[in-house]
Amino acid sequence: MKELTRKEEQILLAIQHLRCDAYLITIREQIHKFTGTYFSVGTIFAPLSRLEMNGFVTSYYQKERRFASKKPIKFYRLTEKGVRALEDLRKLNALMWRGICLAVEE
Amino acid sequence: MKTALRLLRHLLPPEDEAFLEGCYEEMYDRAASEKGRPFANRWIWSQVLRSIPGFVRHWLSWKAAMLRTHLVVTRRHILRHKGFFLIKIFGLAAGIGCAVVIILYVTNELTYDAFHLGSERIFRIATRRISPSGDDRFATSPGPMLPAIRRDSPQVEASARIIAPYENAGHVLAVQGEKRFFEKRVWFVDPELFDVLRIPVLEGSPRSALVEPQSVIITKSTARKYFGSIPAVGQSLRLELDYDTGASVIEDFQVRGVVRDAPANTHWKYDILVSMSTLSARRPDLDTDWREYHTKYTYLKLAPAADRAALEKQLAGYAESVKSQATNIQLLEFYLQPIRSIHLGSNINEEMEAPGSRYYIYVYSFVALLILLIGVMNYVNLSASLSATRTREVGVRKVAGSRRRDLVFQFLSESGLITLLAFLLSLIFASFLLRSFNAMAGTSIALSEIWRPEIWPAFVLLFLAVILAAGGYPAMILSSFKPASMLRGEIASGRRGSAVQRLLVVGQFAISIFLVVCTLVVFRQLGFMKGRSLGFDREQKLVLEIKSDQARFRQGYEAIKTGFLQNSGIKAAAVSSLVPGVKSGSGYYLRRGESYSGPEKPFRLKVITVDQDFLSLYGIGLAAGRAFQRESTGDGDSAFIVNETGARELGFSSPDEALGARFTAHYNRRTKSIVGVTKDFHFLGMKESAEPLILDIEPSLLRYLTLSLAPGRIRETMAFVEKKWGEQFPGVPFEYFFLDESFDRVYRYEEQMGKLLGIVAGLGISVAFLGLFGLVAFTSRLRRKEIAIRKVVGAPTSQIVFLMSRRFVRLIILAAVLAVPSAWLAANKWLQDFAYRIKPGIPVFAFALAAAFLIALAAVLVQGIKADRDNPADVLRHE
Repeated sequence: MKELTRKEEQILLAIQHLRCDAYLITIREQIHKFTGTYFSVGTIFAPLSRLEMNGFVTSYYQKERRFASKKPIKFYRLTEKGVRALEDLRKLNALMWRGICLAVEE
Repeated sequence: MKTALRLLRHLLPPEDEAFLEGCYEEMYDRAASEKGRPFANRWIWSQVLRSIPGFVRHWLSWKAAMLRTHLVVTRRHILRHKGFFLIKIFGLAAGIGCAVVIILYVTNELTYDAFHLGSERIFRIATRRISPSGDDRFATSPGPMLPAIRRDSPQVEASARIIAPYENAGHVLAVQGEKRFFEKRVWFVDPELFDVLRIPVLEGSPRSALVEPQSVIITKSTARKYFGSIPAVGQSLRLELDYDTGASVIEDFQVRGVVRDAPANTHWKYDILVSMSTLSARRPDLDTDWREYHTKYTYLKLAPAADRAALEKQLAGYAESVKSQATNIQLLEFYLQPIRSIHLGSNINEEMEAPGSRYYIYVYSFVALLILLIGVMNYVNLSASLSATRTREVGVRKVAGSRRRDLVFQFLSESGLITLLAFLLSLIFASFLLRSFNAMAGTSIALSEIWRPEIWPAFVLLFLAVILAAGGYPAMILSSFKPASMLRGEIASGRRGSAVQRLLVVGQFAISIFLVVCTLVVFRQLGFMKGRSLGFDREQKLVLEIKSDQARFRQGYEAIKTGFLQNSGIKAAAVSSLVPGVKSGSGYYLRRGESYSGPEKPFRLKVITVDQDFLSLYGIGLAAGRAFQRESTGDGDSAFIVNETGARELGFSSPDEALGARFTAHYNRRTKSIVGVTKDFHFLGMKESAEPLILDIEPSLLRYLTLSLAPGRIRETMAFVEKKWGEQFPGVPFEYFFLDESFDRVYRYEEQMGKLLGIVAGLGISVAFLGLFGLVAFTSRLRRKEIAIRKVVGAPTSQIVFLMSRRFVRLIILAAVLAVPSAWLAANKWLQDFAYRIKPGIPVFAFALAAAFLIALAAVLVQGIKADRDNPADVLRHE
């Protein structure tokens, strides 16, 4: 399976954090909270669409929750596949981090 | 902010458009509430800008991918129907080629003198004079005008004169080593001319180069002609110039500068510019003589904020003072002509070149439009006919999800490709066409002028118009097919489709009939003019024009004639101021009686000065009286001869009455009596009616020597003439022409026009034929089954062909009804210009209509027989 990119990983984590409140703007805010940078809408939306296309996330609409201008809000949540991918990633990271000492060797 | 969002909406992916727009709105609101509205506005616009490159890249890559497949399909389609494709593309190329030439021509005409810096402030001073001899306007103005304006008018930024050499204007002998040519475009100019007009200087300093006497500036091509690759500046060139002092002199001139060649779109064209000081050294009265204004042109450039009315008032002041000194001038006026309006707006005496005409701009544009229309109609018609073969392709595309606008894009890109090819081809076509067009219209347009950027918008417009006109309709019908019926192999038999095609056929045939009628009228008029007796004999006449050292010729022409007559191959020789086919403006003012005075209006007759042998050499017949006689030597001093029209002009009701009447000419104040009246003869062909003419034995205007050659041994005689010329006029290039050949040039314009129309008409007819052929093929395919059933039931071939042709005969009749009246009007309008003209009669129209019907019949018959040949069993097998 293709590995997730860093940005995709961040997006998936942000969605999982936000639970049922995950849409483009909140995801962007959340990533800002983690990393301290605001990414442009495009830099979030493109990987997000890709994730959706590849079945890591799925989108849904809620009738009662809309923008002020009555435009629909597209919410995202992780699919099983997405959850598994994150799980795999964490395991992989844990494996790779084990026994590592972060000091520069002279 | 609204606009930004609207823009963004177009850039966003369509499926998530609403949602993303909502996101942007919310983010905008947040940014506005947190950091203020200006910041939010800046932010949203930066979002728009940043998304553009990606959008363009995305859009282009998909369009390009589609375009590529379209081109592949187009290529296959073309290869399958090579013949049709070639016809289409050549039709378009011919139309576009004509349009390109006409665009070049029209641009050239409309941009005359626009390239001068501040051209709207540049004026020429023209003269209007009313005197007993009439109301005349001249493009010229007196020589002292310039110093006066410089003295009195501070608002004139720069001013200069251009003066033509006097009598040898148009043929100044220029000598450099072995090279000897007659130069047509030699002018005296003031050095300040470079401040008035735009004359790009390549070498030398414009201001100082023309200060000294005996210095010249030449154009680049003149420099190449005389000096080859040697730098021209510093070289010397010998010029024979006439300063109106009685005789011309040949002298050395220093070349002090080289300028770029005069462009085609200026009314003043030049090759050699001679310093004005050369002329004023010989004619000290140049700056003082207010009464003499022939051949002198004054140009000036006003300062940007100048008061034109004040200048005009000043000019009126000059005119008043000149008028008060002269007798019998009733009105004298100097007026300003804006330089840009000279070419199309000024047609007065002594124009530097024959002015243009809006009428011809319209006529040529109309013809070009017709050809373009023919080409486009051809394309549309053939595409529509061929569309039947593409129904499956369109059906499959539609089933696979093509939207209508995708299909339209496909067929438009196809016609775009073909138009592009036709455009390239048309340039080749245009380069050939330009040559005959230049010959016809008397222009000198080069194909390289298509690189002038101001023409490009016209080309782009033409290109898009052709794509839309040619590709639009086929794209519409092809994309409108219903997939279900198409895939079943049925052809959409929409009435709309064939209605447009029928209309096109009517249009094509109407244009063809119109063009055939026009062509026939032109050729019949030509034949009519050529067939009429001109009143003089032009066979076996060799003409020598004396362009150099005329003074010697005029004094000693009898001896020169005798020299030529030594050879038995030369039957006769005569000298004259004019020969057939040459235009001239010289005329005499005459008054009845012994002196040139009196209150009444003088008679004005065109003059040909001749010798005693002129009438007999040209075989001009007499209506009354006698010809000039050599024996009675008094004729030179005492006799006039007029033509019949001249006698009428002088007020005599019959030629006999004119004999013995005495008249005094203003030109030399001599009183002579009329001894003979000739029959009218037409030296300028039958385009114009005979002018009132007077013949006079007077050496001062003579410039042609006509030799009448005996038949046979022309070659030896020519060798003798050349040798004799070398003896008589040493150093002057031997130039001659045969009268019968040169005279044919009188009708050159009509002949070229006839040829051009003939080509266009041929093109039109063949395209009309193809169009009808295609339409019949189309409809016969629609009616295949009907025809098959009729055959099965027992209809004979003739009935089937009749069935097929009935509808088309109606179309041709409609076309004829449209074409005949308009052709009649156009032909009559054209014929108005001819003094002796044919009537566009029934035979012309009958022929054109018959041709149209025959061709239509041929197209229908071929298709009808083809339809009849089909085996009904094959056609009906699937029912």
